[in-house]
Amino acid sequence: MEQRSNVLVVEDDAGIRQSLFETLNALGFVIGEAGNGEEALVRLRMIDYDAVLLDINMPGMGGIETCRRIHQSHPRLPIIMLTVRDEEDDKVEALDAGADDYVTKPFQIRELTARLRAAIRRSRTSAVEPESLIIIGDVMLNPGRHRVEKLGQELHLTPKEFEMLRYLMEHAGRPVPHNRLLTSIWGPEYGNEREYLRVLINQLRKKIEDDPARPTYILTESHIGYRFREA
Amino acid sequence: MHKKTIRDTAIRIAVGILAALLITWVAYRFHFNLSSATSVHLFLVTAIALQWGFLEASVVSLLSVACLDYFFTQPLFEFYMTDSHDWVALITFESVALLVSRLSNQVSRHARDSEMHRSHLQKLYELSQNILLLDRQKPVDQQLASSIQTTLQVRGVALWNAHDLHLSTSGTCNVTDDEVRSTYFTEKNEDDSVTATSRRVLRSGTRSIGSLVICGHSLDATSINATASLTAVAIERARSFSAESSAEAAHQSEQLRSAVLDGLAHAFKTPLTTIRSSSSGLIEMGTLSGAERRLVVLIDQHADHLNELTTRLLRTARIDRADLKVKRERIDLTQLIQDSIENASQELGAHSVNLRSKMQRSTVWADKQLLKMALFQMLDNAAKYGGPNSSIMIDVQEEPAETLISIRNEGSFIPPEEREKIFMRFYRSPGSDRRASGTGIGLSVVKRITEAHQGRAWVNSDQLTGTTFFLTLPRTARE
Repeated sequence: MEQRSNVLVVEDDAGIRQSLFETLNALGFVIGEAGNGEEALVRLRMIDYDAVLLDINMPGMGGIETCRRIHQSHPRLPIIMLTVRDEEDDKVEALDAGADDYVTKPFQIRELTARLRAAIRRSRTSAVEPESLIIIGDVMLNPGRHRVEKLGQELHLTPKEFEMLRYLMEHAGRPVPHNRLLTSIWGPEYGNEREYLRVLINQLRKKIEDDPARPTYILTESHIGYRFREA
Repeated sequence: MHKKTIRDTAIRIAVGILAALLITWVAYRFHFNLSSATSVHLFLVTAIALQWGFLEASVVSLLSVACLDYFFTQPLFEFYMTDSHDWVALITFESVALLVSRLSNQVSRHARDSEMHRSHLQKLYELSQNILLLDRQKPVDQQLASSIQTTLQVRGVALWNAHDLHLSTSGTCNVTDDEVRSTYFTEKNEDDSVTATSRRVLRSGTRSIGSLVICGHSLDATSINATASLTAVAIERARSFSAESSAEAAHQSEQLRSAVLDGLAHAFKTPLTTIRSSSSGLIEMGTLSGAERRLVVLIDQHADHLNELTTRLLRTARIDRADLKVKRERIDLTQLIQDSIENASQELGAHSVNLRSKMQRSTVWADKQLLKMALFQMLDNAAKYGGPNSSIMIDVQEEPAETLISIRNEGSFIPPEEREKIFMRFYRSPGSDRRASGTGIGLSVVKRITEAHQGRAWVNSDQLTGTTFFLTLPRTARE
């Protein structure tokens, strides 16, 4: 039998907390609860969790600061932020603070559990060895040989396109903010050149997507960045 | 008043006569010769002319001639002169006396006039200063009336404001309220010197705005005119100030309303999240019977719908804020329209959307998020009101000064009188209530967003070709 994952829910609203406790518990998760960031940090020192669900808007320390501290003390622990629509800047900030993913309130439990499971799976398998093959769908990336194949057919990518694809595939399933992509591919001074990114993503989509107008590999996270689909 | 002046003059003449007689007696007693006596008399006449006036001086000068003739010329004690030199002396004396009287009287009158003029100016200046210091929080008319009365030192002031039909009085005026009003209606300026009452129509530009009656004053017509102008300016100023502050108040309440809306929408999100996670959780557990499951699905769907409404409300609340920030960037409009169509695929349902084949590729300098929101609302609107499964046509045209985006749907004729109103918040045209679900905020968002870009939004509609919504973005707005 699959081991039940231990999840810490950090949320200031008791109603949401209770609802999450009941449903996630019934769906096979072991739930710990914390009403604020400070309490969450205390609980994390005592108990080992597999993932944290963290509300972004909380009194006291606040979700983003809590996220930053948890990420510092538990760098490998996946954190999923519970966010509100129309607050894209906060989402990007949370991702920069070390969050793995985010779910927008009010969410469907199906979506939440899917994200949660994916995040836990990633953290367990994790540590993609730098030189090992990454295969997602029909796309195979071989970092050692600098080679990309789709259905056995080699794709010719420019060095920048390769860098981008490699970065996205290494972080498959996770939203990658624009500025992080830009700085990791072009360098730290390129954080605001969205135009470069858009052009490069379009080129890459033309090469790896079946239909570049309806991408299935490189997905757009509107106002946030991009996400490579889950393996 | 006139009688009093005559009496005063008579008294002065009597005093002058007594003085002349006294001087004559003294001169006679001390044996003055004719020239000395003449000098003393001349002095007296000049003094009277300076002090009192020409009339008094001339009467006294005639008496002086008589006295000089009687007491100081040969033969003595007779009104007759033998020496022709004495004739010359006395005639010269009288002429000089009259001339000096005339001149000195003129000088003193000028001095009096200019003094009066100065004091009028002083009063007007004070009045203008007082008008600047009126307390605008309280009714201005009454303050104006009392300020005019005290500053100009008049008996009474009546001021009628034609805007609020209010009469303000200060002091006592022997005029009826109707008389004050009739000045406004007859538009007649009058000065009555007998009762010292002046009536003026107050004008702002060519428009009459009220009337002013000032009683018991000693001012000239020019000063009264100036007072009337100052009063008119003060009334207009007060009016525009109150109009301004009520506009400010309206603006603030609009701000407050959108802040409340924002807070409310946020407050809705939390319980909605609980409901949604519980309902979707129940579905996910898969332990429900058929009927139970159907009911929970219903709860879930409607919680979702409520959430959508809340999200829209939240957005409009933000867009309504006065400090809406437009973050302009270069946007490929064709691409953006295609994205918007994709985003609205759920709302568009079975409607087919056609981009005009010869559509020009164009870039605009605008806020991407806001423009997307506006396009989404227009598409949503076209899908809701277009006939079932009808097609929607989108076109972009580059005009010399602006980029024109049009979205046309079939049917849904909008009568001309409603074409402005549908862009207003919460307005839903009378026939639309049954036909489509909606909150009546979508199009107000479109308008607000276009206006924030200095563009325009409007609609054309006719029975045959359908309804077309237009949106323009100025091309000059680019950097």
